[in-house]
Amino acid sequence: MFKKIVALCMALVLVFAMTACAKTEAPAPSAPPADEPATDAPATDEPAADEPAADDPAQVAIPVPEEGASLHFLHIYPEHEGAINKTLDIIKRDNPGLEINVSVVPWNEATKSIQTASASGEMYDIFFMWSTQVPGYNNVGLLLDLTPYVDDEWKSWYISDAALEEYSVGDQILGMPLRGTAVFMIYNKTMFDENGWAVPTSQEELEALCDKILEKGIIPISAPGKPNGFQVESIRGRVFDNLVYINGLIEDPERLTDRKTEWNGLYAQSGEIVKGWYQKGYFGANAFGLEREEGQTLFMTESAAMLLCNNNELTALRELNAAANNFEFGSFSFPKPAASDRTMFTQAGFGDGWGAWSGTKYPQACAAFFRSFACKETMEIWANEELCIVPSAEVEYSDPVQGAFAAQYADGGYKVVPNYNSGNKGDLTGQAFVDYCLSDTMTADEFETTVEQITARAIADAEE
Amino acid sequence: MQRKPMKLETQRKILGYFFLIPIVVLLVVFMFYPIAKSIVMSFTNWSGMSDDWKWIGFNNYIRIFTDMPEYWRAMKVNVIYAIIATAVQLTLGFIMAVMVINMKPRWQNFYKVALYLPVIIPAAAISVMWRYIYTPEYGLINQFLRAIGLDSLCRAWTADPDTALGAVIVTNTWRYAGFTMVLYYVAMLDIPKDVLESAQIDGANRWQLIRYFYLPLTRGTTEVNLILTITGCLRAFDIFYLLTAGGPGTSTKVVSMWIMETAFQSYKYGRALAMSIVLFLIVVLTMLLFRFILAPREKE
Amino acid sequence: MPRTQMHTAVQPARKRKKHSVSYYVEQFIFILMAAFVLYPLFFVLLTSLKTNTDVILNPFGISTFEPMNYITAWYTGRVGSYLLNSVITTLVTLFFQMIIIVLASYAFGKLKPWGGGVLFSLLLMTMFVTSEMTTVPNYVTVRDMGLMGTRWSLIIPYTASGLTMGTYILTNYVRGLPKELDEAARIDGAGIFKILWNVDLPLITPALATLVIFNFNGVWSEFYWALIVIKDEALKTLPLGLINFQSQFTSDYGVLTAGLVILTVPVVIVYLFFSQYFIAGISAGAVKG
Repeated sequence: MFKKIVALCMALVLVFAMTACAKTEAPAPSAPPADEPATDAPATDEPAADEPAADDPAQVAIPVPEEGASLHFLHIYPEHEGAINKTLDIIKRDNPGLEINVSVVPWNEATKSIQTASASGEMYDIFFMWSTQVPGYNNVGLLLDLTPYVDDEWKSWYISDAALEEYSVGDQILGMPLRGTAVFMIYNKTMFDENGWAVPTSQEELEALCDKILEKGIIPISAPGKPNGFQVESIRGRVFDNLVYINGLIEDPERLTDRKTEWNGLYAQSGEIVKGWYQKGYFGANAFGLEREEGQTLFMTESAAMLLCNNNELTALRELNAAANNFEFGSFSFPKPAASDRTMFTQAGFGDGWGAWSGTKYPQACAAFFRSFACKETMEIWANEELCIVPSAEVEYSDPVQGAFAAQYADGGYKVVPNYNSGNKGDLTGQAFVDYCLSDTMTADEFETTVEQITARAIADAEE
Repeated sequence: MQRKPMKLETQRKILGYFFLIPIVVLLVVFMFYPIAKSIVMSFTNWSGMSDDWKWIGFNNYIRIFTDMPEYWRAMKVNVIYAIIATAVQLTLGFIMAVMVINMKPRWQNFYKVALYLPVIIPAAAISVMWRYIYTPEYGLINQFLRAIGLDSLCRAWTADPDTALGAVIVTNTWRYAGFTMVLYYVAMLDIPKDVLESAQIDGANRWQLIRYFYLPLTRGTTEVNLILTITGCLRAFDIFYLLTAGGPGTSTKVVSMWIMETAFQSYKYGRALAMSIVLFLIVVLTMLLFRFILAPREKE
Repeated sequence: MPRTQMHTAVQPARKRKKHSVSYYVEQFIFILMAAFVLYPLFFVLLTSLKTNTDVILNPFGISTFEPMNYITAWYTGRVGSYLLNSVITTLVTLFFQMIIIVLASYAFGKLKPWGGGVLFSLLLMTMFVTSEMTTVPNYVTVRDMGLMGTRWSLIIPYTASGLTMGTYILTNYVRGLPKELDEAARIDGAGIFKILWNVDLPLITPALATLVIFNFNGVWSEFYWALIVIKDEALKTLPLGLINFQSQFTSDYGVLTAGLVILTVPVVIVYLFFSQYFIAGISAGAVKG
């Protein structure tokens, strides 16, 4: 009996194996490996150079893809497949004959995929990257310099210079912004109206409001703190930015490049304030154990009055709300201290974006790809169909909450953008904050020292 | 007649080499070559991405042993996990196997499947399940505790530094106990039924059966289970990453997570390889140690 | 090949009428254990039949019934096309693995060539490599062998990765087999291959079944390597379809768990099928006879 099964299996497998062999696919779409990826803009290599030399940017012509160009494109947005397809349609319409092969990977495998592809010489031409990865990728020569292709008209499409600066190193534009990620407070407008609560316009008002909400037995702010402090750490960051502004350090170049390792008690102060809020119960007792979804649930079931969330959660939040208690919501960005004259919205950046490979055979095609991506038509798709906040100046947002978020981006600036590969520094400083909040013995100064040491170590590591 | 057995023995030994060709070829190409390449690259400052790297000798290794306390803290996490998990899993697996093998066939079938299922479930599903069991506000455990009035025992199981590691260990043990059980079960199938029966007729109770029959006759499987479990624990990653992402602070951060971060966030692949090699050597040494301790005594 | 009876409960013949207290206690403990083990799985099943908002808002209740999740999972996860690829890849891989493992275990366990012990320990070491160590070199190897874009880019590395643990387990098992049967067959004049095929293979069936079960799961649900080497839609395996259910900021848990259930069902079926080979060792009976 056993032997019959084995024989049957062998027969089956042989049949399959023959099918497998017969299906030898065409050679992989990527170009043959380039052993030495060029580190500079290879514009000089291209035969059909449509543009004059790069020293006269004002007269840069619109990039036209090379003959027979075929691009390999990597993205992390299976949930936005609709927008991606429409975008590709637009790109292909603007650039007839351009071939694009698409690959999707989960967001947390993106770096690994890029790394493997690059290490084996079969890198994607266009790939997803976060703006914080620009220095690191640039150090290993991975990124194509797009400066020669970006003309003034293209630059004018962006809501601010900061959008492109986030993806630049020095004067070189090394990537393209796609969408922004920022935290906002969303509040239960229905609940606020019923209780006569007003939207706080200062930090002090926020504290008073939280006290009032606590009296009613409701958690004031749902701020999921897992992992690494997550939104509680974001709140600390917002408090900190305001302190920094008041103390005149907002434009400190060391701070802007994330190299500051001496805070003289300022960082400690921000930790102390937020730890105090945590201990008063503003975030609920289990804040550091909540993950994103549980935080959302707390808010949706009206156990919490406000939610600190990421603008990209908006679609999910609207769905949940419709299925739950269907109350009205409003939003505001984290308020400034009364003493300050300006709300700091420093993280108004566009963290999700794209890069092009320095070793690509079709740099013009890459530039053309990006150009079509950056124009209003494409950006509008992302803004209104996928509810993303896009760096485009002219887009009008159909969702009012999204529109309110986006409007504040115009006010943004002073974003901390490390000019070195900071690796997992953010995780580590977040962890330090969690440790501080949960500890009975750690002082605020010890907390600040820990963070300073982490930063110093990250800088040293990156520079080795 | 004396020559024939000798020649047969040699014949068998030579045949043995032929039988080993496929496995050796595959492992050399896909395992040993990468190991060798990794060792070489661990002496460089390769970023993992570009082709320009420099030879830096033992720097990576020196760094691991002198300036990387987080690596060893993580190793401690792995070791604690290995000790607890091995003890629990092996004991539990063994007991379950003994009990299952003594059940009526219908029940045997049911339990064989039920107890093994967690091993088959993909890690993603496991993380979905156990997240909802552990979450502090709506999680199953806390809801249960509140329902029976033990509010004070409620915790944020995967976020509280005191309980996070325990929570992950419970989940991992839940998952893999079935694996050890199956291996023990298969070994116990070979224990001749009549030997056990005659021992029982002689008055042996359950514990004596275990001590004098089940335990000794599955010694080989114990070795396999021990080694597979310990080495698995030292290289654990999945569940730790999915449930706690390194836990509150670094209380559940395992070595594999550091390696991954070094490679894919710090872009220091050469150093990550050095860290991998150190881990690899530690695991190999552990394995050799256990094989030596449990050197099989042939029992016919 | 005769199938002997399952190893049945070893109970003295007389004591069947009244069950002692300890019996009930045992049964109770067992039911508890089964519940403990099964509840989380039951929870996943339940989740797969809920809408996503319901999963988030009401994880433990049963308020919606959405079998549509499975349909969505089937289409979004492209199960229809990826399933065949997974089946082919896994079957071929297992076939090769089993042959290679049986040969190797037989060599290590019975034939024992000189230096076999050292070689065995050496091979065992390969169980402990990390993915960081193997990914890039293997990628380059596979590419240089011209296998990129074919099924073999999956099959051959998968085969290699399942060999060590399997050989370890099977060698251990083979060493434990009684020698009398071999010798009896040899005296009867059987050649080496006859012995292997007729006598030894049936003996190791339970262990072989175990290996099939272990390795099937390993290959069927492998994700990371497939993600890197397979770019062609026509070759993608089932786990790659799961990408489509998860994203950085939201996930549809209902559909995701439905997809996971679809992914797991074949593995359970394989387990059920092969566990019937967990039968009492033929050796137990054969030796006495």
